[in-house]
This record gives sequence, C-alpha cells and structure tokens, in this order.
Amino acid sequence: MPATTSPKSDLLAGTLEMLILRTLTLGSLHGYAIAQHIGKLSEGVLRVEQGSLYPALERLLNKGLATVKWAETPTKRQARYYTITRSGRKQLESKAADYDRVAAAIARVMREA
Amino acid sequence: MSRLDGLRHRLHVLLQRGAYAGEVERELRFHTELETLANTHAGLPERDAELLARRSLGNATYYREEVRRMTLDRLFDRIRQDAPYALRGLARSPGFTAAVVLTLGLGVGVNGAMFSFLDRVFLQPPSGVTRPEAVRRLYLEFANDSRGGRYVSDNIRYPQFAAFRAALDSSIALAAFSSTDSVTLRDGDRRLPAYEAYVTPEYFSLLGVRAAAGRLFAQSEGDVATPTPVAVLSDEFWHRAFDADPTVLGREVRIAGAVYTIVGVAQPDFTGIDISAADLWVPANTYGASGGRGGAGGPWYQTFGSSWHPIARPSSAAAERRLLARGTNAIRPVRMQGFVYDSTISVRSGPIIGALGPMAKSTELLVATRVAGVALMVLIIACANVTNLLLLRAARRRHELTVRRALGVSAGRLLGQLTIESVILASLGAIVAAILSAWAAIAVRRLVLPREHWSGGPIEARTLAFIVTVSLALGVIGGLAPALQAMRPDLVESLKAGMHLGTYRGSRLRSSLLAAQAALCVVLLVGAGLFVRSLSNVESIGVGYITDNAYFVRPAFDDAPAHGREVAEAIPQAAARLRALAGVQTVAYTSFAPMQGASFRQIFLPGRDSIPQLPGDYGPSMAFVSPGFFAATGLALRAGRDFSDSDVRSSQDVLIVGESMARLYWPGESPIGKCFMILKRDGPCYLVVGVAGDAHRRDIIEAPISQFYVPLAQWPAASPGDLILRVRPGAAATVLRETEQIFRPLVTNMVGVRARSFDSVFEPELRPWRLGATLFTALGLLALTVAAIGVYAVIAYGVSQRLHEMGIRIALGAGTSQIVDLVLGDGLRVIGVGTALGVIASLALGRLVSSLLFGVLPSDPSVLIGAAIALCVVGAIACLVPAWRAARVDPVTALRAD
Repeated sequence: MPATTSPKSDLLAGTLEMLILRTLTLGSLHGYAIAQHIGKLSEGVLRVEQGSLYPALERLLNKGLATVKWAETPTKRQARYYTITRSGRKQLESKAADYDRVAAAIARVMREA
Repeated sequence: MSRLDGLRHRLHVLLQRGAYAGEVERELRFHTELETLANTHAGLPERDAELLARRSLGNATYYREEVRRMTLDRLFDRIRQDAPYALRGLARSPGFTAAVVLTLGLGVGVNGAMFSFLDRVFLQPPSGVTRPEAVRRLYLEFANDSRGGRYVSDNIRYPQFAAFRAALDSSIALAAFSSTDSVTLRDGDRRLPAYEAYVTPEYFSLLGVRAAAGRLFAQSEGDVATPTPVAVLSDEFWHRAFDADPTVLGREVRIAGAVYTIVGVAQPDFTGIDISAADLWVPANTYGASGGRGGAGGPWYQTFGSSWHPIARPSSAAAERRLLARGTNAIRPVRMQGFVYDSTISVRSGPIIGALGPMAKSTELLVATRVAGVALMVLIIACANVTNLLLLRAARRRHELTVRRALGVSAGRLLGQLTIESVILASLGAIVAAILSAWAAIAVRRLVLPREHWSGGPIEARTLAFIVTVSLALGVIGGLAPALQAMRPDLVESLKAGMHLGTYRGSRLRSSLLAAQAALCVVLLVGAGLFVRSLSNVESIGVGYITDNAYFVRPAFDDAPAHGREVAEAIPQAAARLRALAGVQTVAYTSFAPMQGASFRQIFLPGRDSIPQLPGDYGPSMAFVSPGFFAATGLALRAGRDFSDSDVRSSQDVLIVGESMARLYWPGESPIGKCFMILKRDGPCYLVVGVAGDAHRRDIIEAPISQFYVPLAQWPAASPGDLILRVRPGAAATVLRETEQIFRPLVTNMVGVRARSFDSVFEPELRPWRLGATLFTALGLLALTVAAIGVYAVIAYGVSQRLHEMGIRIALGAGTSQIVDLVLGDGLRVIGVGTALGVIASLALGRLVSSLLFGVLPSDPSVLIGAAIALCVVGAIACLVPAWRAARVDPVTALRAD
C-alpha cells in the first residue's frame, strides 16, 4: 500500500466525499442508498466503486463531517444511516466552491485552446 | 464541534474494536443483500446476482484495512514491525549503543540519586501523619540585643514546655518529642539495638497516628510525677525484631536498663517526623529512669535527652498566632547555675519538614543543593552527548534512510521508527540509571547526613518515576534533532554514487553541542577545584590542640543507673595506672572532653564593674582539668606553669587563662599573678598561674574566645568524665585494650570503653567541605568522561567521513604530524571556544558557592586556569586517537573505497 497518494486519487477521494456530503443534505441515508442516488442522478456516468464508498464514509466519520446510527429501513431491515453535521455542511460549501473554481478554470482553458 | 464528533467516533472505534468490526460486517452484508435484490429484479438468476453484487462491492478486505488504518491499530502494527528492526540495528552497533546507554545512565542516575535525597529531605512530609501540612514545629528564638545576634533553637526544656502547655487552653494540641537515641533493648537473652524517642502523651493523637496493634499512650501517661514505663514499637521494628509476634504486647523488656512494658505497635509507615527513624517510643515522664545519657550535669548544650522538640496543630492561622504569642509570654529562660540568661525568648513556627524551617541553614544541606545544581549540569552534558551521538548515527545512516524514503516510506513513518529507537535506548538507559541511582543515593545519604538513621530504601516510586520520565525525555529530545535532519528532502544529493566525494559538512549543531559540553565541564572542574582548596584550607586550621595520636576515653554502659559517681572515682585511678604503660605518652582527665561542651560561670574582675567581651563571644567558658591536661591535649602553655598535684582544696585557688582572654583583660601586662572572682563578687580571688594557647570551643572556624581552666581537685562540684590519652605512634590499639582491662575492676557492668580520636571530633566540621570536594570532583570527572566520549565520537566520525580526503593528502605527501595537526586543530578549536565560555560562566556562577568556600575566592585564577588546562588536555587526548588513525590511513585503500 503506497503511503503517498498520487494527486489523481486525491482529487477523486475529495470529490467523492463532496458528492456524498451533497447527497446527505437531502436527508439521512444508508450507504447503498447513497451509491444508488449518485449513480441515478449522474445517469450512470459516475458509478461509485463500492470499495471506495465505505472508506470515504469512514473518513467523513473520522473528520466529524457526518455521524452514523443504526436504524430501521422501510423494509424492516437494520441499516446504518449517515447524517451530515453542521461542519459537514460548511465543508461541503467550501469544497463546492473550490470545485466550481477549478471547473471554471478548466473550461476557460479548454475554450481558449 | 466537528473535532468532537470525529474524536468520539474514533474513540468508539478504538475502544470497541470487535463490536465495530461486527457493525462493518453487517453493513457490508446489508449492502450486498440489497445489491443482490436489485440484480435479481433486473433478471439475473439468484446465484449470479449474488456474485455480481459481491464483485461490485469490491475488495472488502481493502475496506477493512482502510478502517484499521485509521485507528490506533495502525500504531501498534507499526511498533510491532519497527521495534525488532530497531533492536537489530542497535545490536549491530554495540559501541554506539553502549555509549548512549552509559551516558544516559550516568547522567540520569546521578540526578536520580540527588532527587531521591532532596525529595526525602525537603519535599516528602513524614509518612503516617494525618494532614501533615497542618502540623507545625515550634522553635525558640533567642535575642540578646546587648550582645547582638539572635539564634533559633528547636530545643525546649521540660519546665518551659510545661509552662507553655499550661498557658494554652485544652483545645490546642501541643506535644513534644526528643531526638532519637541509640539504645539497647533486652528481651530475655536477646540484645537488640534500637532507636528510641521520648514523647509526650499527646504526640500520637496530635499527628493522627493510630495503633496497628495494642494501644498508644494515654493522657494519664504524661504526669511527670509518676513515670509510666510503657513502650510503643514502630511497625517496622516489630516486624524486624519480633517477626510481628502478637505476644510482645504486654511483654516486659529492659530498655537502656530500665523495665518497660510493650503496650502497642504504631501504624505501618510511621517512624516519627524526623529523618532519623525511631524504632520505639516511650513516655517523656520516664526520662531519667534510664539514667540519662547526658542528663543533668552533662554539657549544657548537649543536653540531648532533656531537650524536647515541640510541635502543635493549630486549627487556623489566627490560632497559630495566638499560640505563638501565648508561648512567648509563658516561656521563661532557664536559670543556669550562677549565670544570668538575659536573652529574650520568642516562639516561632515552621513546617513539619524540618529542613524547610528556620533552623535549616545547615551547611551540609546548602552544599547538597549546590551539588544538585551540579548534577543537573551533568545531565545537560549527558543530553548534549546523546544528541551528538544520535546525530552521528543518523548521519552515518543517511544513505539507508534516503533509500527508504525513495522507496516510498513516509516521513512520518521514518520519524516514528527513529523515535522507537530513541525510546529503546532511553529505556535501557533508565535501567542503568536506576541501578546507579540506588547505589549513589545511599552514598549521598551517608556523605551528607551520616548521623541520620534513614528509614525506607533509597529508591522509591517517586524517584523511579523521575528516572523514567527524565530518561524518556532525554531520549526523545536527543533523537529529535537527528530525526528532523533525516526528514530533509534532498534525496538526490544523498543517493548520488560516491557520496564521499561530497564535502564533509561539519555540522554547526554538533560543534555547538561540543562547545557547550566543554563549557559545562570547565564549570564543574572549577567547582571541584574550589572545594578541594577550601577543604585543604580548613584542614590546616589549628584548633589549638595537637590532634594526632590523642583520644578521649570513657567507659561505656548500656544499662540504667547513672554511673557518673563510679566513673568519676574510677578515672583518676585508671589514669594513675595508665601512666605506667609503655605506650602512653601522657594521661590527663577533664570533666568533659574538649569541644564537647563548655561551662559558663559569672566572673568578676577586682576593681572593675564589668568584664570586657570579645565580639560574638557569650562569656568566658571554663574547663575543669587535671594536671597534665595541656601536655595530653597538645595545647601550648605560653607562660607560667601547669597545674600540679599540690593544687588542692586547701591551697591557693588557681587558674590558667587563655591568651586571648589574658590580652583582653590585662592588655600589655603579664597576667601571671593577676586574679578574678568566680560566681560571687565577694568570693575568693582565683590566681592566674599560667597562660595557655587559645583552643577552639566548638567549631573549627571560630573567632577568638575567652576561656580559662581550673584544677578539678579544687572544684568538688565538678567531676572527671573523660580520660585524655596521648599515645606513642602505633601504640593506640594496645593501649586502648589495656585501658579496658584497667577500667573493668573499677566500675560495674561496663561493656567496654568508648574511645574517640581527636580527629573524629572535628570530622563533622570538615564534612561540608569534604562533601563538596568529593561530590564536585566525582561529578566533574564524570562530566569529563562523558564529554570525552562525545568529543571522540564526533572527531572520529569526521575523520571517517574525510577518509577520502585524508587519502589524497597522504598520497600528495602530507606527513603524519600534518594530518594530526589538521584533525587536532578542528577539535581543539571547538574545545577552546567551550573552555573560554566555561571560564566566563564559572566567574558568573561563582557567587552561588562563595558562601560555602573557605580561604579561596570563587574567581581564584589558579583554579580557573587549572580547570581550563585539564579540559584542553583531555580534549586533546580524545582527539588524538582518531587523528592518529587518520594519519595511518593507507592512501590506496582510502581512494579506492567509494
């Protein structure tokens, strides 16, 4: 396991966290629902690798951007529901702003070229 | 807020690892189930649906690993991997490991010993006492404004104590105890040495001490009129001497000859509130039943048994003030025989730790605190050494470290590994330090306060905690600099082949550490030199007596009744018989041995209203001596004659004056033939028949005092107490044996003779300087050794790095001496700077020890120069070995090795 993360995976990890947080602003969801949601809204373009979903959720928990609780699903199963916290919302705002800036810059460059 | 949530989560994961892993499993299973369901709905057969689901979940192990990575498990994993690696690395360089561990062990060990001593004396309240901070010791302050000066004493006479207690209402707790004395306890046929203290009955209840067995003293056991011979043992003594046998309660034993009944055992851990531990306590009202060591008739300030140390437990600060005021009013000076005591007495208080009270200015303790400062310096030197050694090791491993970094090991991981190495070294160092501390602490106790009967081992939990903490701190701090250096990212530079071609960068940090070490060494050596000089100065002070081959002798008893009369009659007879012995040069006797006591009487000069006084002297002291006293003690007779057998009661009353007194009373004239009255103005006028040289009354360092001598034969109230023997060189042992034989038929129940040489009398006076000289020299040499190791290591490393360069120089024709000069020059430059700094520091710090020195200034040039030279010489030697090795490098091998 390389200890140093390459820039590409860094960006991806950060983006995934941002997407998860955005999803959670809609309400508390369990992991599967989050993945489905992202997949659906992005029309299948962004398929969340399950292998990276749960580590990303764990990182959010460690940073205190989300909390988790066991609860009952509509189908009477037990699942872990994730809820965004206030600092999670703040982090989402700043990450979203960063992302917009980067996207706009890329777009400008692409247009020019 | 987010921090808190995050922390809470991490804590939850950490503390409930197993449960959390279970939760993770359930979550993954849930996800797989739903995925399978979705796939089934999409039309896949069940088995394929499940497989697809599992596959798309990805590597569950990766997820689990990710979770594990974020917890402390990661830390433990790392340690499990790095520790054996570090141990192997250390085992491969035994020289380095030994140097670091030894340096740490020495530096921390010495400090552990000093800490243990200072903690015990200054910081730890006596154990077993309830709320010791509320207990106060009481002192008497004597002020004599007419003669100037005031002094504080922790002794109070029993009548004064009784008056004090009578003046207080019963709500205030007041008690007193005597200093511990060594006695023999006879239980049937067994003779047990024990330390005994007399206490008033409120002693135990005031201190809040309970009984572990039996009972403690009752209030009724305080009446002075009816002695109550009961005894309470300490728990430790009960276990040691009686194996905690419960049948000792109620048993009768003989203590110093008197019969006592053991009634109880004090709670464990309690051994009194002085540093000297007591093994048993007896009520104060039995004092005198044991025949009184030093009781009435003994030297006045050595009234060991009849002086008491008062303590109290006031309930508040205001209560304490009232207590002191009442005491000051109630206590009257004790009337001494024929002497008016015109000092005013006031009562003061101090904390229960005696070393922190108003009487605590003992020189030995001052020296001890200075030595603690010195020990700290040694610690700093040790720390600098450890840092340097670790720096060198890191420099040597640069290649290895950079390869690892290039392979992807994170900086944090490397730092962690170096820290583990430091911790291992520190732990080994702590073990060495603990062993050294245990030994050194005993040595310090014996050196500084040898007369105390120490309780408890030298190393206790607090000292161990100190040792471990300091060792770890040193190890980690020492490892910090090299670790940070290893983090520097110039990978390419270090990986270049032929790195020896790179210039040898003398590290500035290393040089400054060396210079600092050298400076501190110089300071220590200067301290050692100053104390050694002081010691030799003090030792060469004349006290008036010739101290070689001279002894005070008296028969010793261990049972009760006072043998004063017996001894008084036996001594002159023994003296007569001893005179005939071949090994005896002179024999005399006196009422008490010189420098062991003084008698004061009021004297009156004919025709004068008052007597002149020497500054700081509190009156002429008189000694009762036999003929031959001056020859026996070696005191010079300046004029006139010695006492003779014809000076008896019926003949003229005579005396011999000391020369300072003679000069003071009759300046410019011969005192022979003059006279003065003693005790009564209208009494007989005692004739001066001789003038003696001045002798010191009590201390080695003393201002001149007034003293005179009278013949024992003319003073029936005084009686012989000590025999003075001057023997021929080498005959001491035989003579003392014969003395015992001579005394045996003359006294009853003698257990032997107690002989003390004159030298041993002065030993307590010399002790502070001996102490300072010993400790400073020992620590100075220690520091020198540690610094020498450091210098050697640094220079040797430098040489090994410059091997290539040396090879070239030699190949180009450089001679041995030139190479040596080159290496030596570098090393000596640093040492020179350090020495200069050290000399400056010594001058600055000299103030701290100037009060402890004698006859030498802290800025004494010969000491400073001597220390500087010593350090430079040792440094040069430490540099020479690697320098010499550098000169013998084979140029071919050096150039080839790359």
